[in-house]
Amino acid sequence: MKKIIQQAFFQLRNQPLLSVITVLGTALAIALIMVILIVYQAKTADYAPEVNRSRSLYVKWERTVYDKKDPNSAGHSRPSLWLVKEIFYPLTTPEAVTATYEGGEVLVGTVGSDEEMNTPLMLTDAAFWKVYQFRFLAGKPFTEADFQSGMKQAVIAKSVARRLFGGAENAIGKDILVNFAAYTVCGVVDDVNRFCEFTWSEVYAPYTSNAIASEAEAGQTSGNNVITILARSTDDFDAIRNEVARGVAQINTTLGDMELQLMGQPDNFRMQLNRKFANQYENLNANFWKYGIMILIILLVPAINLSGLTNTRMRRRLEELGIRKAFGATRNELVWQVLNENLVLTVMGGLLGLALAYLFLWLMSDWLLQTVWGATATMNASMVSPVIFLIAFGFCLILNMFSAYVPAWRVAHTPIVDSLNEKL
Amino acid sequence: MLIHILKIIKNNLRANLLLVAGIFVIATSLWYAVDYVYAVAVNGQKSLGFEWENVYYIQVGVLPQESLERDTTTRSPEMMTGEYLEFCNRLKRHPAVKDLCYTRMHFHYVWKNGFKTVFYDTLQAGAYTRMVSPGYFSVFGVKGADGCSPEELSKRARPEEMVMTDNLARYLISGKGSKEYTPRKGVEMVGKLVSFNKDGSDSVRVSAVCENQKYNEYTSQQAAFYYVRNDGFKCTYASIPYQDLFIRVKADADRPGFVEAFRKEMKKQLRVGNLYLADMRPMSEFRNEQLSDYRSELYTYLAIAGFFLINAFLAVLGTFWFRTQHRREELAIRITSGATPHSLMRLLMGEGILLVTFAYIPALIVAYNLGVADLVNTWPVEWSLGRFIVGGILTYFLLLVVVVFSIWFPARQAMKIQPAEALHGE
Amino acid sequence: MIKLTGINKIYRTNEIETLALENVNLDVEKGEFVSIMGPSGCGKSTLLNIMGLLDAPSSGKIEINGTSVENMKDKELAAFRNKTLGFVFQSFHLINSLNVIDNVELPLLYRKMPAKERTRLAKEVLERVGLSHRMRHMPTQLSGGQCQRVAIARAIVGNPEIILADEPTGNLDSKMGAEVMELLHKLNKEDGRTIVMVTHNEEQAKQTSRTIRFFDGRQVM
Repeated sequence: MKKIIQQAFFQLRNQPLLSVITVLGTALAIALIMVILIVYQAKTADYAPEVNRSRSLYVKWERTVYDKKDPNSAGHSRPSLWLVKEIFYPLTTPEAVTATYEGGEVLVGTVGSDEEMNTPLMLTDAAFWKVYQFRFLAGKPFTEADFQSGMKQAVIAKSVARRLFGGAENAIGKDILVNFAAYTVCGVVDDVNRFCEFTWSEVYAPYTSNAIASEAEAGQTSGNNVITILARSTDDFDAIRNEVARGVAQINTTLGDMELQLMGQPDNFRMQLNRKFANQYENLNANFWKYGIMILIILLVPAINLSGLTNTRMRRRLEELGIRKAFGATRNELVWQVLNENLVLTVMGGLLGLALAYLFLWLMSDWLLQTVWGATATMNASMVSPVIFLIAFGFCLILNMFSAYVPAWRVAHTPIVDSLNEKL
Repeated sequence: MLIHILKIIKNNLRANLLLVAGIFVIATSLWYAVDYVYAVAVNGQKSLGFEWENVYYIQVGVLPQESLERDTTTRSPEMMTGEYLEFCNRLKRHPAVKDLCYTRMHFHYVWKNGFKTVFYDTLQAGAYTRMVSPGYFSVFGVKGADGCSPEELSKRARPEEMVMTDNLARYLISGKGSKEYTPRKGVEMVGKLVSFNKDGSDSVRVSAVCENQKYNEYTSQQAAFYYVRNDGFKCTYASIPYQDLFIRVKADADRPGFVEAFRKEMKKQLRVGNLYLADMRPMSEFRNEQLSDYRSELYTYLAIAGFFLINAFLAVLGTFWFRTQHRREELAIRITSGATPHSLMRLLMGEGILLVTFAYIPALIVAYNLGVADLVNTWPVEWSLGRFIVGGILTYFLLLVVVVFSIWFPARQAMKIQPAEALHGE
Repeated sequence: MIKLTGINKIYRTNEIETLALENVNLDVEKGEFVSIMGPSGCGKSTLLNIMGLLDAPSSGKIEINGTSVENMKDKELAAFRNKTLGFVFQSFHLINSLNVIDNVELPLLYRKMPAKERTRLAKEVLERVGLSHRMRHMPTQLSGGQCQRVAIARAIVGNPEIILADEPTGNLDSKMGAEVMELLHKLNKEDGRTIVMVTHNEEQAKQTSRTIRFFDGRQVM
């Protein structure tokens, strides 16, 4: 091991330009791949408040066929509260089910002061606080009882508390005006990363406190809710899907000519990422393919080009490799040696690439960290995890294999006499 | 010299074919990205057609049922419209406000539009339909097609009539597409009647023609007409959220902190009936939000172009470095037969440039066919021969720079060859 | 010890065939010091390479130490070279990126010997060739004679029975050449190693136990 690193550094000193270009070429490829994967990781890893992404199922859209005889006469929308109450709340397999209603931007102010601000409002139920784990800086969430009685209780984000009351502790028990309707602050939570599509907001209140959001007219399928189902474990996913399907079938018996379809939902977290639009229910895996092909190209094109450089470097070492063979090295041992030495360069490139990836993310966050909520997400801890380092190392290995195996094989199979005479 | 280089290339055919194939792929991808950037840049030169600086969006809120302040007595639509107009008047009276307008189905930098077909004579054309109050033109600084000022255009825009963009007017008046096509000026449409139905019913008089409009900086200039109305659009509490209010603020009043100060000052005054000032934002905010999507796409294309350029560099560098090493003896013999180091450099450069040219010709053919088949990005600028030529030249130039740069390193090594040593080595 | 029967070696390029060796039959006994002589391009180096299993003959049989090397796989050939054969080349062929002791250890490296043992053996042979004070030097810091002594140390560190030397003094001045020759004779007499040496030097050939002469790929006596 030590020998291999020594050798690699000797080569680095001996052929600085070629080695530096190899390292930079590797760094570029790794940086591009890692930018894509780090953003993906940031969007999909479990972190507060969406700590249970891996064992949650989501229903974001519904499709209603207006006339069963004409399957194309359909409307797409968010599910209504009626559906939530009929199908999802009664589920028995999951640990918890929550529905969130996007209240849009609201005007928030305090009683008797001119201070006011525009913030997003999220209307939800009490189970929300179980499915999602917010970090409470002060107070506590509204309770099931508060929710049932439609109490005007609100949980606000740290930034709102600071703006309106000067701090988290001060806000508890005070009243805020949400579009001129008074709510009592019962809790203050840490600000939520904008990559948290299901939880990002700044004011959270029971939907029972709002006349429009709590409308649940029988037969009305379209609404404005997103449903999260928290399973006890991923093993229960199939059972839950079956239970949901039974619920849908049951409700369809009451809909007359209409038919409700969930288009393959509930989705797991990764799948729901691909379901951006209401009427999107075909080729949901296309995105994975797109990313896969993109990464393959980013890996393959530089690998082929880097192998040209590796060829050149190997050619300069033909004599050395010939000597090694004369004194008893087998071809496999030589291939292994070349791969290992090259790996030192590749890993150097990989480390540099990872650093570059973080630099790009930081410098060009407007572009790379865009979110569905507009504006950009902040960098978070999930972006710098051992998983990321492992993945980066894995890609280094693959890139190394692609770029060095063929040259290594070639030099190892050059006749010894030719190697010694440096003929290729 | 050229024949000589061609011979060398032929003798290295296998390695060269590989390199040419690689550069072909890179060149095609690079051209695609360059073409995109070029199209966006060309479109960027065309005027936007309106001014967003110093313009603010005002969101009018209606008190919800939960609010204790809500006055629950029933109101007629006239009363609700009256509240809305009073809201507008109070805004207008603020000394910093220069002009005010409200619109429906039209909000720059927010995807909110209507589309309608208009008929004139035997012609028809689809265009954005935008419902605006007459003040719209002075708020957004839209000039007349004849060059008249926005204020003048606002005066000419008579209620229940329409103002259309120059490109739409020109299309309708010139009868483009029909047999007796004579190009005429757009302003000649003024005073003509345009219909929303094929049979000529439901017609509206064109009261003015305005300059061409882009939707935002990245889109092309699109056809649009403004249907002018002035009575507060007869609104109700249900329709007010769909109606957008804009004000133009005097430039000297529009300083940092203006929004906060303005909102504080007007908060009480703008509580009219059940209406309140819900939000106030500069247009620049919406603009940034919408343009960031386009910028992201542009950056992505630039990144792709950069990626392929660097790979072209790696490919050419790797191949030529290997080759100059391989050809040490040949190069040494050249030196002994009177070649100077500089002529060696020229030889290698010539070889590289020729190879790139070979790879680029099929790439251009592919590129041209992509363009003709409309597989390039045509939303900013139409495909044209000129675009093809400029994009082609730019791409070729970029490739040449990369090739010269990447051959320079190995060529420098070749120039340092000591003939005695190189020949001895064999 | 080494038995060559009917060795032919043909080099083929696109159009021409060159016969480098023609029907060579040769027997080298254990403990012999054989020299091979002949003009440039007569095929003597090719013969040495074939004996050293660095190159394969176009036809013919090779037997070394009673083992036929035909049909040996790469792995077996490598192990055989490693254990039985030691090489000394005209241009030394030291690895410039390794220091003296690492160069000497090379054959042991491919025997999966523990590092301590390797160093011990390498030090021993370096002492024998009189270079123990240069262990940590890089090859580029040594004179030609020193380089060749390092190469000889490397050839014998694995204790092979056969040493193949391809013009070992060809790149050295006469004084250094004499030192190297002395060392080779010592290895032959004291250790009883079999040595086959290609040389141009009539004087050196005379000192060996047998001289084989080559001309145009053929053994002339």
